[in-house]
Order: sequence, then C-alpha cells, then structure tokens
Amino acid sequence: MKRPVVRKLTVALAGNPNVGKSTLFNALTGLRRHTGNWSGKTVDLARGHLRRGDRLYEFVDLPGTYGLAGTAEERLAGAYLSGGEADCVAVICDGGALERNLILALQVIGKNIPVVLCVNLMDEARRQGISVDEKQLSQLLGVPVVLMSAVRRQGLEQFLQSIEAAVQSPPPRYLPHWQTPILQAQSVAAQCVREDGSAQAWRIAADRILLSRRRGIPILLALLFLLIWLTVFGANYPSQWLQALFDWGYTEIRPLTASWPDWISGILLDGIYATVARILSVMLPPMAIFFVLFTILEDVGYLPRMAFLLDSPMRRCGGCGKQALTLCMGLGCNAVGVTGCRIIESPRERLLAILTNAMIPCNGRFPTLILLAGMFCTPSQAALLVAGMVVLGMAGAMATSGLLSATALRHTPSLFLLELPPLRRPRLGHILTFALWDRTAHISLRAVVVAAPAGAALWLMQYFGILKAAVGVLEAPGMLLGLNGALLLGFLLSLPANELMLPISVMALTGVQLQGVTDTAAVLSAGGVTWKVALCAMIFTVFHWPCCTTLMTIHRETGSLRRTAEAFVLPTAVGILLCVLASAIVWAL
Amino acid sequence: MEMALDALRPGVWAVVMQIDCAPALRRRMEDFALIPGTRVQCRWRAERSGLTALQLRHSVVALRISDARRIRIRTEA
Repeated sequence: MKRPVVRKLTVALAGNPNVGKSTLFNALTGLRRHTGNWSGKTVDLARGHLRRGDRLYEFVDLPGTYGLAGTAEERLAGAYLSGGEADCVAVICDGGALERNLILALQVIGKNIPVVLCVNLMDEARRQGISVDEKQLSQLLGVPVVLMSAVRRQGLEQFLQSIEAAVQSPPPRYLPHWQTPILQAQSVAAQCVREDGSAQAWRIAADRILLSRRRGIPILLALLFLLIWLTVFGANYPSQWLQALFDWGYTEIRPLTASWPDWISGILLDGIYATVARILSVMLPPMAIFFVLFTILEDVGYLPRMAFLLDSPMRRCGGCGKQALTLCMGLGCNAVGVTGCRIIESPRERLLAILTNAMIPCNGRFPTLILLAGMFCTPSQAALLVAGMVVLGMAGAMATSGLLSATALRHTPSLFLLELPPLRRPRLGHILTFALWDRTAHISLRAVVVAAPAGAALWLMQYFGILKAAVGVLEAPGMLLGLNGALLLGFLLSLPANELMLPISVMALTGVQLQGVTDTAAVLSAGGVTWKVALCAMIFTVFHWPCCTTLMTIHRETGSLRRTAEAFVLPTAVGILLCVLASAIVWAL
Repeated sequence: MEMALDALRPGVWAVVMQIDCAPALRRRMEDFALIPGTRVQCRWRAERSGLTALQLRHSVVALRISDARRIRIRTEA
C-alpha cells in the first residue's frame, strides 16, 4: 500500500499584542496556552501542528508586536520572517482596531512572503458597531482576507483555504514604496471600515467612571477587597469537604497497608499522601476561586485601566502604572508577575518591578495567610486581615521601589503609553476553561509534583529526628522574629514551593510521628501559635525570599546572579525588619 | 484653533499637527498610529493622575499629560 505523501506548510502567526493570536493558535492546534488581555504574553516561539488529509500545517506563534524593528521582541519577529522558514504568514488583526493593525500588516506584506490577513475579534467589533468590507480590503492589499472570531471558532475553515490560496498565488504585488505604512493604513482603513459611533457611548461613559480618580480608586479598592473576600469566604466549605474526603481516603487505605513494613506505609501514607492531601485541600479551593475572579477582571479589560489609575502613585515611587499591573499578576503567581515585567520599557523600572514583585503574596501564600488569619478571626475579619496583608505587601513593594530609585537605582522617568482595550462582556466559557484548567490545574499539578517528594523527605527527616533537632536550633532566631522554631523551619524548607510552609511546620510541631490528615489549625494552636505569633508569621509570609520557580524566572529575566541574589535578600530584609518591629510591639501590649 | 494636546477638552476632536518628543516615545506613538495627520479625541483627562486617555480612530491610548504637552494639534470646528 502506498503511503500518502505528507506536504508540510509552515505558517507564522504575526500580529499586534492582544488580538487573539494565541487563541487562534490554540483553536488550530488544540494546544492550550495562556492568552490574555495585556501585551507581551507570548514568550518563546510556540509551535503547534494540524493535520488535514495529506497536508501538515505547522503554526509558529510569533510574539505580539506593533512593528518589526523596534524592541527585542519586534526584532525577533522581523528576523524570523526574513529567515525564510515560513511558507506563509498569517497577520492577525483586531477587527475593532483595524487601522492600527494594518500598519504591521503592511510591513509584513512588504517582506515578499505569501500573506493571509485575518481580521479577528469580528464578533466584538460588530458589537462596537464596526463593519469591515473584506472584498475591498483584499483587493486593495492584494492578499486573501478572512473575517473570523477565533474564540467562537468562526472562520477557521475559510482561514485554512486562504492559506492554500495564498501559497499558490504569487506574493502580494501591493508593494509600499511611495507612502509610509502608517499613511497607507489610514487610507486603506478609510475605504474598508465603516463605523457606527452609537455603540461607543456606554464605553465612554464607563471609562469616565473607571478612569477618574475620585470614583475609580474606590471602585478599584472595592474590587480588590471583593476578590479577596470571595476567595477567603468561598473557599471555606470546599476546603472542609476536600479534607473530609482525604481523611476518609486515609482511613480506608490504612488497613490495607497493615502487613507492610512501618517505614514504607509511613513514607507513602503519612509522608506523601498526607502532605499532598493537606496542600490540595488547603490550596485548591481558594486558588480556583481567585483565578476565576481574576480572569474575569482580565477578560473584561479592567487590568490596563487599573494601570492607568495607579500610574501616578507608582510614579511617585519611581515606578510606573505598568508595575502595578505586574504586581497584580504577582497575586496569581510571582513567576508570572516577573515575566510580565517585560511590558515595562525602561530597563531600570523593569528591574525595580522584578526585584519587588515577590512582596506581593501569591496564590501559594494565600492559603497560609487565610489559615493563620482564620485561627483567630471570623471569616469576614479574616478576609479584611488578608486584604490588609495584600495592601501591606503593595505598600512594601512601592516603598522599596521608591527607596531604591532614590538611591541605588536612580533613573529618569520612563515613557508611558498604554493601550486601553475596549471594555467587553466576559466570555464565561473561556474564563472557566482557562481559569480552572490552564491556571488552577496547571499550578496544582506543579504543587503536587513538588509536594510528593517533599512529603517523603519530611517524613524521613521526622523519622530520624532531624526535624526536631532543626526546630531546636531555629527556636532562638525564630523567637527574635516573633515566630517559633517550627514556623521558621517551615519558611526555610518551603523554598521549593510556598504551599509547603504550613504542612512542614505542622509536621515539625507534632513531634510524635504524624498520622493521617490532621487539622492544621488545631495542631498550630496546640503548638503554641498564639495570635501574636500568627500575626508575625503573616508578615513574614508576605515578606520573605521568593520561591525557587520565581528565583529561576528572575535569573532568566535579568541574566544576572547578582540581581537574583538581590531579589532574594531584599524582601527577606524587609520581612526581618518588620517582624522584629511587630513582635516588639505586640509583646509589649 | 491650534494648541497643545494637553489642553484638548474631553469630547472634542482634533488633528495632530506636529509631534516633538523623545525618539523612543515617538516610535511608540507611531505604533499606535499617533502621527501628524491623525484625528484624536480626548476621551478622559485624569488631572490629578497626570494622564489623558486619547481616542484614536480605532483604539484608546493613555498618555502622560506632560508628554501630551509636546504634541501640537488643531481642533476641528
């Protein structure tokens, strides 16, 4: 039997940031990758495949850029297109902002490679009262044009057909030479885009409220508090259910291992199972709720407006509004926040943002804060206290930025030009799959991968009495910080993942061999963790060294061991200072 | 009427005449098609924040008022 010959086509996806390029890439290749409402998300060149009969498409997702020659990412995209690997380039445009998107499209067309122009986000554009004449557009540009909505998977079939049409016809003949791409884009858009201004009215009205300081800042604070309150309050019940479920699992499995040697069942059940169970039951519910809510804010386009509101306070601390954005990304995960600092143009401001990002408590630390606060407060008070800790983290990050930019990292204020994408209705399906699957499941999996071996190692350390000895050594420095030896040990050993902090302390506190999935709060109370100790522990949770993943990300982003070390020392020093101060104050009470 | 962009009141349309700022910022403005000849409207001016949100033809871009001062415009009647 003759095997069909597979003909491969490499298709590069180019486009401005935030036009749904990664969404299209996911829809075509079935891969799930982060797409969001701020720029600079696509980091390395992602490749994905699609097989159609005898045709194999390889899609290459280029970073979102506005041009092909300016920033590092733009030069990367430009170099790739000139390299000759791509058989065809699909330029993805935002149907709601076609004129601006055409500037890049025209530059790509000038490269003499077959081009398909995809006008994406058309459903959104139509809702804004914008219509695009694709026939006229195709005629003017000399390339196939497809109107599509990648989120709704509309126009994908037509897109693939257009690729075939583009590679079979000669490269576009519309070569720009007598006008700059900007002026050409203006004239092309004027001929192909019709706009009915009435749909803009509510957006303008909404922006007047969201962007004004008097009304916008209270709204911002209220949203932040609501986010944390819903996370803390909502996570309570599922956490209890999960804990009950894991408890039940433990009592069911335990008898089955009765004939095994002690140390095997110890490592497997009391080490690995109990640690993983404790982490999942404490961490999973708040994280799932937080990410769903945060993704809604991201999806409606609120985050850049937040950067707008916070630009002036951040500027006073030597930063810019975009730093506030990366700090908020840090609420989800500090490593993501550090990578997000790429959107900051000025190298000095970017460094400031990277060094201070870990002062924002990430999702891995939220459960610790929630649990410590919940030991002595009602849920509502706990939410307020946790929100206070987030504000304290923000204040710490801003104060440190201000101090550094006035001393060691002096710089001139950077340029600030920020696109405010149109506010839109959240796409619930997208939010749920993305927030729950891509973010929550992904991070939980990572935590479990770290927690399982850590659980085994901890059990062994417990078994040989190493934990107890370590607690004894750390008791004195722990007391100095208003903590105790077990908590300090938890902080030290949770370098691989912040989620491990309380489980480690619990293991160290129980002294006797730990059995089953115990109630963390009860063990802590019995171990002498009073509200004074808990308060200091919360402060140190916010301000201490970043986790391994974040440190590695910082090293990758700065390319400097010295900067990575500074990122380690800086929050730790702040934490030690604040804890010594706080413990002196609370013990004096 | 000719004036600097920072004096443009919300809701009024104008045409950019001349941009006189640092090359890096100028290049970023070009990315957003903010060049001489572009029609702009002030969408919101946050006085105390020192920022102004401009409606270009198809996108909204936030700019510092201190930078907007370096852009000359002519308002439409």
